[in-house]
Amino acid sequence: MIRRRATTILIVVVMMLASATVAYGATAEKDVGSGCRIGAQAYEHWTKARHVSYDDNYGCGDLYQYHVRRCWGTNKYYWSGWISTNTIDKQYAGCDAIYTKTKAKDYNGNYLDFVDVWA
Amino acid sequence: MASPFRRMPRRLAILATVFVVACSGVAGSADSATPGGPVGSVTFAELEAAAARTVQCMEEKGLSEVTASYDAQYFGFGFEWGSPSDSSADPSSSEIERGEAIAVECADRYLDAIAAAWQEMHRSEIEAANRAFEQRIIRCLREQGIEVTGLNPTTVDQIDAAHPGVRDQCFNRALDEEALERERSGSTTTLPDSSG
Repeated sequence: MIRRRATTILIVVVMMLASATVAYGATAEKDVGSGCRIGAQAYEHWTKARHVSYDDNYGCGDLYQYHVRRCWGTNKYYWSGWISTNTIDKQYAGCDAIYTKTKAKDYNGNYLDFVDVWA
Repeated sequence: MASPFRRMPRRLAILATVFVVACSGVAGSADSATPGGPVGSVTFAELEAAAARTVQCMEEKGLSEVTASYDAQYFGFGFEWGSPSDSSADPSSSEIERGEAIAVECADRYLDAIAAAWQEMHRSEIEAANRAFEQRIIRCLREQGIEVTGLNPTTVDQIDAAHPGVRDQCFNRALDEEALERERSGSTTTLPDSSG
């Protein structure tokens, strides 16, 4: 009887932990031409928000990302400004990953299309 | 329309023409390099001043409590502003989009060209970080028994076809490793509130 109750409590605790670590968000991928495929993720986690942009097939010259986030318990928004790097990952504890926009350039420096995603 | 060089001595006209062509060449290559187009070499003080003008612009357009902070990891300034709604309420998408539109507009006007030039000046560091990230992925792939020397469209397609999902796992692991290192070394600089 005691063992059954302990097992039930354990299952409940595991389920609570599992639900607490679920990430909420979205991923978008797009072929933007010139052999360049980009992806973007904006998602929220119980310990961190995450914005990711990536060159999905190593076919892009450059990536530029900006994102908007808001941290819990505050009434402040943050806009990152354009960030230039081939793979971008921005993580923040205690924030909502609201929005990410990513655009790419080909290897000749020409702008390609963009992809955006809301968490 | 009369040529502006008509009354100039021929040698001066040639020099002036060369100068104009050189200047337009610089502008053209700048526009194609990064968002907003870099303006050549800039100092951190110029970047900071541009960020301060962006803060002022955002406030003039109705955003409140605007501050700028420098992210050394990505060589750029970000901007924070206050929401008119209650902190406990879910932010509305129109409120977010309004703030974002103002931030983008002001940065486009005052910051992006200088920020792009600044990032261009640090391109070698950015590329070194990109290479380090790629090496993390390659290391992870090797641990999974996949021998690869470099990542490019061809090798990536081959890996994905032969080992579906493994590259994604390694990508996420590389992100986690990098984020952990960033947490340990993270540094930002905040500009004082321009209204204060």
